[in-house]
Amino acid sequence: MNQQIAIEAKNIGVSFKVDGGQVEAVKDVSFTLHKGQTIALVGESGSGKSVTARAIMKLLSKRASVSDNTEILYGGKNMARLSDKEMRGLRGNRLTMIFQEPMSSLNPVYTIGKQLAEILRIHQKISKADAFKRAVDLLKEVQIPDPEARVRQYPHQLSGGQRQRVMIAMALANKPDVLIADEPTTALDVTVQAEILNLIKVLKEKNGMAVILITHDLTVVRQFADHVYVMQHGLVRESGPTEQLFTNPQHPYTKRLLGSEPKGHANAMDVSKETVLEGRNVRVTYTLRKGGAFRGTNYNLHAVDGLSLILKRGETLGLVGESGSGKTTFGQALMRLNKLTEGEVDFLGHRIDTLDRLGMKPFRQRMQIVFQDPFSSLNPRMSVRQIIEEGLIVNGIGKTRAERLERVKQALRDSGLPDTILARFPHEFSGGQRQRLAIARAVALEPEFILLDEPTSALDLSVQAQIIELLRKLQRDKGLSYLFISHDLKVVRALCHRVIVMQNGKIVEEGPVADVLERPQTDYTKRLVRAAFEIAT
Amino acid sequence: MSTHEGEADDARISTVSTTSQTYGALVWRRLRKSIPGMVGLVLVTLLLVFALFANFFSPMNPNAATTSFAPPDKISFFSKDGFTLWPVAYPVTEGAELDPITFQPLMGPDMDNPRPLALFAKGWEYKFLGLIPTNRHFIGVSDGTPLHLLGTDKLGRDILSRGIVGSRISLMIALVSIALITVIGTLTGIMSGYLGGKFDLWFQRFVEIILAFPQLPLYLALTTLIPVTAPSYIFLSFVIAVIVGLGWAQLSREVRAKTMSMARVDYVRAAMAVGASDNRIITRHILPNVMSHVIVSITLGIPTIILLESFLGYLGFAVKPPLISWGLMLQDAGTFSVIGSYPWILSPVGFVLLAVFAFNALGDGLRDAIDPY
Repeated sequence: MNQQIAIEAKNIGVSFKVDGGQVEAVKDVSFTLHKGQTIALVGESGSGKSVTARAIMKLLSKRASVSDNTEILYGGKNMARLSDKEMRGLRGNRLTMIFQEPMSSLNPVYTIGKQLAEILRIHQKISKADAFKRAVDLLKEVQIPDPEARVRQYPHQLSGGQRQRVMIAMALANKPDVLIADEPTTALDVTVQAEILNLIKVLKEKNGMAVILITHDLTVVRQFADHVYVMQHGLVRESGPTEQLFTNPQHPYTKRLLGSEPKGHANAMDVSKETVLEGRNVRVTYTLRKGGAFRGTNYNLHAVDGLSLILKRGETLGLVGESGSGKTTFGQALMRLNKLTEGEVDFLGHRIDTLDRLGMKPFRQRMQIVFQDPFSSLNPRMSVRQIIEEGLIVNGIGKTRAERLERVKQALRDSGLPDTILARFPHEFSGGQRQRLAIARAVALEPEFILLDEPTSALDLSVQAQIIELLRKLQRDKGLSYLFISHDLKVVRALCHRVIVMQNGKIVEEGPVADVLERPQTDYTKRLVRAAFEIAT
Repeated sequence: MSTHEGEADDARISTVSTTSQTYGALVWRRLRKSIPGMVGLVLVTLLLVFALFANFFSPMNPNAATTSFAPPDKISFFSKDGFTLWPVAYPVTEGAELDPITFQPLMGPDMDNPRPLALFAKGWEYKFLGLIPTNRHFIGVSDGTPLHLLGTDKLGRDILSRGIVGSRISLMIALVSIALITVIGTLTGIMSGYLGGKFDLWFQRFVEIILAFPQLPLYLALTTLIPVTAPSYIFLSFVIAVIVGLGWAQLSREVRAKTMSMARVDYVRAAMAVGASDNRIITRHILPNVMSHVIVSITLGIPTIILLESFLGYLGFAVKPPLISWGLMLQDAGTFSVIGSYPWILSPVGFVLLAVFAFNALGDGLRDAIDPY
């Protein structure tokens, strides 16, 4: 390895002004980045890894202040002391950064080519035509097909993965020494994720830059980083070469982080049990409009195209696919939260697809849903007690207030929360605790079936493991059936008995989890499995 | 919650506050930090207190006539004996000398006639809060002679007193109209946004027609429909009805948009999943979350109506004498020669400005504070 040092950071400290004082977001973080090396800052949300990256780029908000003994040495200069003007010369030129959200980091009113050319012309003295030619080359370099046409397109004409490629092209435009990638693939589908990370790796080796990779995903770290810094609560808990850290972790936090990868298997179940939910040839069609207001034509989009499934008591059925595959639409259609265009749904032996809202009411209590985002699924104006009690009141469960209160408390205890938080509001809880609240709301009604719509994908890894454990426990104790929607095959392996793989509204493959994940039959499933468990190909 | 191995306490965050913060407390905490918001809050409170105890705060009977177009009294800390701790008022009177060009008598403070100001001075008779007869006033002259801090109008009535008493009508029109606008606008907005479909389609076209209506000609046409001899309460309620009739549409539009986005939020879907009725979803989930937006549009809507009243009043359409409102007072300032000779006649503009600024500042502060999550 080339031993030239690209960046040497010592004692990075950042604090934020808050009500009644200061919060130290990052304390004494030091690291060394060699040329041609990839280091990873790993940690859960709130660990200060993004703040550290922003401190290097001097992109912190006004409320933040960098401590006096911070030293970030780059090319013999302490970047923490550079003026804004000097920093502008470095940013986007010698040091570049790519962000998590490729949807919002490109300006929608300019073409791709124009945005690339702008970056080039800010830092280099080249003509417009040359900059444009160079932009095409850059797009070729990041492996965007048909770059000559793409360069004239607007960001909305590109997919998420392609936009992230454009972001990388922008970052590489001036052949930087250091690339900071802040969760570059979190917003992307798994198969795209692998492609993007490989691209960064290839380009790193070609241009000899140094990469700071910020992520919470340990599989990514293991595949792509040379050196790892584990962060928690603004401190570096442990650092070391990747293999050494993964095989022999020292700090208890690192051990816990490594141990919280989803593992274990679904509860053993008796396959001969009765059917809880059955869907036959379910089809959900949206009518969309193509063309102008006067000469446009309507066409049908089949979001869910004639799918069937059977869910038995005590079973967990995984519904897997990339974004846009129709898995959420399918799940919600089975629960009658979406309109069915065609098909039949049986729930506990009753046909429910023909029922109106009033007719559905007796069944609502017995089928519940847990959403992906625990921040939008709890009404901010209601207390914990009101949130969980609502279903009880609506369905007339519990005769007296005291009886209902006891059931609310029981639901909280079942979900691993203390029963003393009744008067609190959702904003006082962390993401994992909120997801527990959402689960408590569902189990308070003592349902027989719960639709779990990506309940773990907005959560940190260690919290994710706890929620999976909780879901397994609830299933054991109460004999629940789950329809588990996810794009994360690791979680699916840990929780599901059977799995259905979906693509573009159709079922691609289905079967027991072990069969499908270990011996995938179709190309699409193979790709998904490879992306989830191997990443590097 | 169980602690896990390696989970050290996060020492960066202070955990002093263990009690839960209610919504009100959170909004208050953020509003307190906004300087314009707090200034607005103080001014609005003062304005409401002044309007409520208008008779107590006005030094003169707003309908009693004295000298017409008397200029404001001179208030000074100096008397013939030198500096005094308590200010005295000198009435401005015509002196013996004449202006050498216009031959009008020169006006000036009557320095021989100091009248010490007093708090809680005796003045004209009124009923405190409409119940207790009294003649005490917040400020006055100790011997009970007239005090015109902002001068008098063409009929010799005290402008300050009329401004304070007039705030009642002006604010009353604004508050009643905005209350009705809020109720109608929010209800129709939520209904239209939540029900959607055909009802929404046609209702929104109706809203568009109202929004597109040329307002001023409509006001003028409608107000001329009422006979001049009609009692003043009919006139007032008519003005309010017209303001509300044209004003609810905008709020309804905004609430509809907010409701539509709210109806797609996960917690509303979760409520549907437990089988909650439309009624419950609207009152427990959508309404409380739309209210923050409505409160802000209330505080920003009040100044609009105060301005509307003042300009309708100026044109002589809003309020008829003997009721007093700021707009009506401005009617006196309609001609250039009057403004030139008696500039204090414009002071109602100050009242309007102050009220508009106060509510705008409060609304501004609230807008930032009202969504604390």
